[in-house]
Amino acid sequence: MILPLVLALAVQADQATVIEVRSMTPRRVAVECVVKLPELNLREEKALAAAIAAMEMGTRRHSADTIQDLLDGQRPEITQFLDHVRISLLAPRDGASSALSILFGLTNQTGFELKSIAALEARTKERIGQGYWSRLYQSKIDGRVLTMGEVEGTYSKVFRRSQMVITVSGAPSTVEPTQLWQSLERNWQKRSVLFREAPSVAAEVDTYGPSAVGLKGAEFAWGSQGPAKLLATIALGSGKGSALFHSWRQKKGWTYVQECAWLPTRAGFQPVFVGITANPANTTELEPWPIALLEEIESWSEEDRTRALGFANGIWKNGVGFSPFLGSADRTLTTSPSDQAYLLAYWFAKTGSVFETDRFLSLLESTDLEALKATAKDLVSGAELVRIGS
Amino acid sequence: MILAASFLFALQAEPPRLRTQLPNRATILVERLPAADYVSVQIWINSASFPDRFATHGYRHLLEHFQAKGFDNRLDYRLESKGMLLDAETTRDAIKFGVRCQPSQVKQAIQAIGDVLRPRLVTKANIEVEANIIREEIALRAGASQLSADAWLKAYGESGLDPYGNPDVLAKAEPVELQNTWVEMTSPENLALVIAGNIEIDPTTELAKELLGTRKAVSSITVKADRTGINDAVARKGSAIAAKVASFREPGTAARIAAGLAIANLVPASYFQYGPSNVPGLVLVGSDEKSINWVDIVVRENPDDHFSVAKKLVDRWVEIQTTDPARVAALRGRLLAQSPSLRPETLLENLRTVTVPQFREAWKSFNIEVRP
Repeated sequence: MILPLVLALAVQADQATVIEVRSMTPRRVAVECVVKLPELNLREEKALAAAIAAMEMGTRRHSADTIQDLLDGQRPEITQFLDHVRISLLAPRDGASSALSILFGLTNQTGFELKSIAALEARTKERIGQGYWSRLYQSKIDGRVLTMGEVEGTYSKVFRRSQMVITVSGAPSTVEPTQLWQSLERNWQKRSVLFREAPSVAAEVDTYGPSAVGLKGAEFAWGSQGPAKLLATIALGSGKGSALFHSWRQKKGWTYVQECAWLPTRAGFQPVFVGITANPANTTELEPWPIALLEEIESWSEEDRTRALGFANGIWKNGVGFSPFLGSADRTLTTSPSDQAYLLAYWFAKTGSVFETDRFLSLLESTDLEALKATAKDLVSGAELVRIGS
Repeated sequence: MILAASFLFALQAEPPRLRTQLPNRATILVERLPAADYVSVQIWINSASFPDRFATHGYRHLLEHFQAKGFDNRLDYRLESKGMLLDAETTRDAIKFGVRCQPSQVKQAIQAIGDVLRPRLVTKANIEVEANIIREEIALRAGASQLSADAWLKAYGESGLDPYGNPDVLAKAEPVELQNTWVEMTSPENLALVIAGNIEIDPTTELAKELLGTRKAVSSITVKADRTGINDAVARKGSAIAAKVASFREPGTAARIAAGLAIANLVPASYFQYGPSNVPGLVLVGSDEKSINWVDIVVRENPDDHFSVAKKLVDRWVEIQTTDPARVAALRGRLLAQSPSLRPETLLENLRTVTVPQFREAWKSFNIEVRP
């Protein structure tokens, strides 16, 4: 079993939810924080990216060098998604209190200086538009220069205790993470929101790299349809036994790289299937791409369902990678201690329930072959066909 | 049978492991990692006798593609149905195939490795299709990989050729030539099978022996070098700096790893690359950002200011290499494939004892800059 045992779950109104788990990896303690995002316009998304860039430069509580020192040479990793922000800290075995103190500083005590706004501005474009997977999200950012007030205002709007779920995963120690966080929270400063709503001015984000053909499925919330859609996504796009690999690479020779992911969105998730090619001739016409997949689905047998279920077990129990869930703008989730802790926090923030591997996998098994084929056809035929890159 | 080294790294106990050299000179190493949540089974095929040359540039990579499919082209499908995963990699020193599985699946994983080792019949048409897939693979490779190829070529010329290969050369490869190369390359003295995870050592070693013990030695061939051009049509991205290193056993190599990690630490979202080898290689640091002036960083920064963080970064690097089953198997496998006597403990000890003067010297040795 890869996912650790959840030992404690503390949920209190107007406070962060803290999940404590005992990890199989006693060398480090992983502290993962998911901050659910309120609705943000384009300009606020850019201001959040700038705020995150400032957070990485250090806080009023700890300088960047001190943070790195306390984390034994590691740096915090902060990722902005459409529906949440992920803050990832990996500390030494006995470093839970330091990591929580750093997390507190990042989420409540980051300072912003006028002189740094220009530097932050330069980094926001990359943050929003240039990640491997985020290229599929959106291709626009607000073109105008940010003000200090906008960055501070968005920071205050986003980083609220009640919207935070924190997982502390590590070996048992004398530190009680929940109590420790609650004692830190007592010093939580209410910051005045200076931000005034401003109209957004959209600007195209430069795309880079080779051409990609993407099928963007319809957004949906995890619920009764979630398990069938997830199994269909794996059957279509995860692994070398998948329809994408078999069709787009082996039969058609269109791509070397084919992948799928569930992009997190405010409404839930958006399944995407991507084929990347260096040969522009392959993307002159996009229509053949989904047609090839639909032909593949028609030929599926019970073996394909078994493979998809086996691969799902591989993803969540053997850590084979290729999870449809994202760990950052550039990669999908692994079963590293940090990613496992993050999944617990994210799943709770997203669905209100604790992610339990066996229960999760048993939900997938309830999808029979006919339902699998029907769901896969819906995913493909209902998807928006997009061309990304040059 | 030879019991593995008893070296103790820092304060942590060595995990139990057993290295076995078979009468046919194939090597097996089984390492028990009780805290691991999966098992990595890896075969490393030493290809020192079959180096990439301009005339055969990428043959080993092409063979990796064919062999990974298994005898019926459905090896991936069979493994994935059981939650297992096959991965493959061609380095300058070796070809690797790995299977990730649960402890109860080790026998099936070893059988999959056996499947991969069986010579496959390929046709001229197969070669053309696969050469085109490799053409796509090269064009889509990450910036780090592209810059690394440039740095190696700059540092070592033809003997530093990139293992991805040249699709134009590959398209002209003859099936018989490839098959013969595979048979000779997989002669037992070139094979190291490494299994790492929460497994019992003795029964796992017996399973590994069943696979490799009966293989017969094959005489080696000589590959002639002939300059016919290289593949340079790939768009480069980013910037990097590299330092030449000698064998992984040299203290200077450890110091360059430490310096490389510290230099990478100065640039957000940078990467670090080093693959331990008994022959000269590179430590490379880079970024997808092309405006980074690496030479300026090396000259401007005082290495003494970064020694302390370098030690922490080294500890973390070592921790990753010695606890994750796939990393453990790769670290040992790539060395054992070169020689059964090679063990990473020398490198790990050197990393622990890097001195400030060694670190300063290593810092200055980063002088091979590559950018588009």
